[in-house]
Amino acid sequence: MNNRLRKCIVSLSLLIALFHLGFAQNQLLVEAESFKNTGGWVIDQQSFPVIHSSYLMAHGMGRPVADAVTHVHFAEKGTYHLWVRTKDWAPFPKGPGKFEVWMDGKSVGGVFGESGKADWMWYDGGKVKVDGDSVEIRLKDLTGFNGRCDALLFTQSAAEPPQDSVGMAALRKELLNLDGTRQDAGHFDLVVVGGGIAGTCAAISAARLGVKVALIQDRPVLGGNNSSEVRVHLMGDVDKNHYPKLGRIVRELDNGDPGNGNPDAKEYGDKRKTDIIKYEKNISLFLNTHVYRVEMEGDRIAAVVGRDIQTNRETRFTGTYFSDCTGDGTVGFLAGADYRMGRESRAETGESFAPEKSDNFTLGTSNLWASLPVDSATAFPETPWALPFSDEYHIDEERSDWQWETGFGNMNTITEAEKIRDHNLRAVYGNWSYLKNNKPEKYGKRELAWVAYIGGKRESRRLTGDHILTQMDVQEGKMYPDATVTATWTIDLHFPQEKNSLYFPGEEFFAGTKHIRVAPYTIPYRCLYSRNVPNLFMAGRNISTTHVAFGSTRVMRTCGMMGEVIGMAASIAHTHNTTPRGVYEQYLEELIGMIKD
Amino acid sequence: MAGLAYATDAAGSSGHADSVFRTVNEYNGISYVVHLQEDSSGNPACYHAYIFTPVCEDNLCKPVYIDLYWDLLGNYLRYEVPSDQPLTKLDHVVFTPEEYEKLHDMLQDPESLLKAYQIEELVESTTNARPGGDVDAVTGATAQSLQAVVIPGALYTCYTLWHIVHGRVRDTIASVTDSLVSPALLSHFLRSGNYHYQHYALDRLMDAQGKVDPGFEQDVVNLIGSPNIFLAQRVLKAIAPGYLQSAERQRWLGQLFVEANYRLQLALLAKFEEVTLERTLKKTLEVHRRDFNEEIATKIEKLLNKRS
Repeated sequence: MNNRLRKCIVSLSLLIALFHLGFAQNQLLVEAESFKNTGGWVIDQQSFPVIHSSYLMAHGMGRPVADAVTHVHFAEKGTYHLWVRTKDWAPFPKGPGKFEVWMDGKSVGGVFGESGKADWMWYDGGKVKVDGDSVEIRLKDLTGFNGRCDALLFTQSAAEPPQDSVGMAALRKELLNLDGTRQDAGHFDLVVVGGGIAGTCAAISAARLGVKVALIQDRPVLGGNNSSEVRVHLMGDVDKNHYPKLGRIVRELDNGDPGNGNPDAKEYGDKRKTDIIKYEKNISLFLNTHVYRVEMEGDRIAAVVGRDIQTNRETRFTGTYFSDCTGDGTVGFLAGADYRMGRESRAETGESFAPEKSDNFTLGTSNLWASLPVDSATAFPETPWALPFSDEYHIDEERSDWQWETGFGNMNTITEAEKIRDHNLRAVYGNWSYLKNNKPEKYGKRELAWVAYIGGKRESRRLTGDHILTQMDVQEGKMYPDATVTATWTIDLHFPQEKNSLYFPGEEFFAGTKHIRVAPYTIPYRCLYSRNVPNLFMAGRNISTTHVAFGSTRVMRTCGMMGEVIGMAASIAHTHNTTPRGVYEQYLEELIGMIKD
Repeated sequence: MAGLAYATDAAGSSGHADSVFRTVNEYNGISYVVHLQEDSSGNPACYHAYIFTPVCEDNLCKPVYIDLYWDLLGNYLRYEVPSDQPLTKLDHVVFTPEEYEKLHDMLQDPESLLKAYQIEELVESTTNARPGGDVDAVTGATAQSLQAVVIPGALYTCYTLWHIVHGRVRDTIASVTDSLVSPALLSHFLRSGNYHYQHYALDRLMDAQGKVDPGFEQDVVNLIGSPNIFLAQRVLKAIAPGYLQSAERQRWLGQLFVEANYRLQLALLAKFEEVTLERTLKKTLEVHRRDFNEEIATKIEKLLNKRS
């Protein structure tokens, strides 16, 4: 690259870094998540697959959060039309997510977030006058109840900006110059997408065997469902392993058992997890990076592209092998890997716990929460937009456990992830409001200490491998030659709790389960790579199982050990220049030897 | 002992509330007498039992003296403990005020985790629960939740009392109350604000077609305005539309709609489909058509455009 060009790119990057905006044809796009100071607002990337962007959310548990503030440079002074991209997240009939946009100390365009409409849309903020070079913009939260803003658009065009997400993606690409600013992270032997327990273990395992690894996580912390953002404890045993060598990395990451939804964030050991990664010279860690695109060469994945959930700058990763540890099977899905979502029929699998007919039923998503005692009685607002409760039905609890769960086939856990999370929030806030306002003797001196805004998702896609683990494999303890990870958790298939269904038919948010006990059994290596994308491994809840078997394999210590196996398999594949399947066909002895060792 | 004295009095008694005593023989050999109490006007008020029971824990038997109260349908209300016979935990340590409260909370929960387990299982899971604990009889999560439910060192007391409170006494009480049912009692139930009583009365006063026994119509219609959304919904869904036909009732329903919770609003609009709308209600709906959201506006429009 010649110096002049490099300089030009540097200054362009600088411009974007400084002003977090896209500017073209007198249109200026300001991404809310790229605000210089996000104040008390949080960045939410969970709806990226649907709206192609992250957004800012005022998650204040009922107390207005501090303003998000940024300064925007306008190349041209003059009058602009302001559009605000937002939604009413609880239009029942009108939601609480109200906020204002302030420019240089003045509110513009009125109150946003209470339109009564659930779709993400551009809302008209009216005409605004820009007198100076730089304008201070503030998002002022009015309620603390999850108001959200995706972006602001200043335009001198009379046309309404594109309302649909595809049109928006194109506009974003143009105005943020995504193609022009994308950077190459370089080539890696193994690109691990997803920094939950499975992905983190996969990365460490591979790196310690000399494999050059990129670990990409779409949140600022590692650990996924076990991070302080979700707070689910690690389950599944590591002391009953057929191959005791597995589980060592899981043990390193394990920060002890604080239960589910513990109000003390530190209990979940975010720092421990990041620190371990920092010592690994073969791992390049990319946090805050959401992978949303793959580049294929034939049927192989050549590269993945991730976007920073805050700055919106993109990075491209090329790799020899890829590992889908996203939970949602995102990489596999984008690459055209075979997958399954929902339940198989009994006729198809021969499983006694499978339903008569196949369907879209999945386990749900939890947004855990906890309250703590305080010195004096405090108030909590009424929440008419939330789920309603009464003395006849409410959940009389000071903190949540796993049962707080939404999305049992009534909502799609990927395309309606936002709706599921929001339904959880309506249950949590509605119930808490009932407790605070109607049971003051018990709840007056308690306050919400923490409510998860990141959903703890249990189930979505399962990528198909050369073997699909079934209930029979699990219950009969079949020992295949490629047996690797030992799993011990019960077949734990959640369903809406009966009483909850009675009061909230079709709107359940509370789960029941039946634990079907199993003897320790093993998971074949063939469940850990895609059957039709030849350089794709997978570990975690998205491996190759039936819905029923997934009910047991899905717990996180077990998922972590899958990651450990993949790391080893990747090192063998790399050494012998073969595919994940090639390891099974030609180097299985070597793999088992490594696991045994 | 007071319990036995009641039993002697109760022999052969029946009929009049004041003299209703029943012996309850619990599953585990505990036997006691439950007694109907009246309020100052002579109406049935609640049931009471004085209970003395040994509670065994690790072969160490400690007596528990306790007064238990249930409502007229056998739902637990409260307990009282004689001040000179406090409840104790392991090693005779007396309950703290917080532990008395916790016991009340625990007894209030008919779906307590204590319900599903044998006492032996509970001892196992509460004493052996450990960090990273295994799954054996119950999940780690459940074992931890149990520890939050019961009072440490008083597991047997909690378990025994919960199973008495939610045990066979409920059937005993239900059969006594059934025998006492009168129009006056049902009317009292409908107006009581106690949802157990209200559902009980509805079960007896409203048939499958939503027809209400004469004399109870207004009391039943009033429940649509109950702060208990679930009760309001039940009545609204089931009641025959004819009861909502008068101009006066429709005026009231219109007012209710404007102030109602969203869930009730939708239920009201669904019900309005079944009735012929009077002018006042139409006007109210017209005026407030755009006050809520798109869905409500559309539903109202559809109602107003319906040919009557």
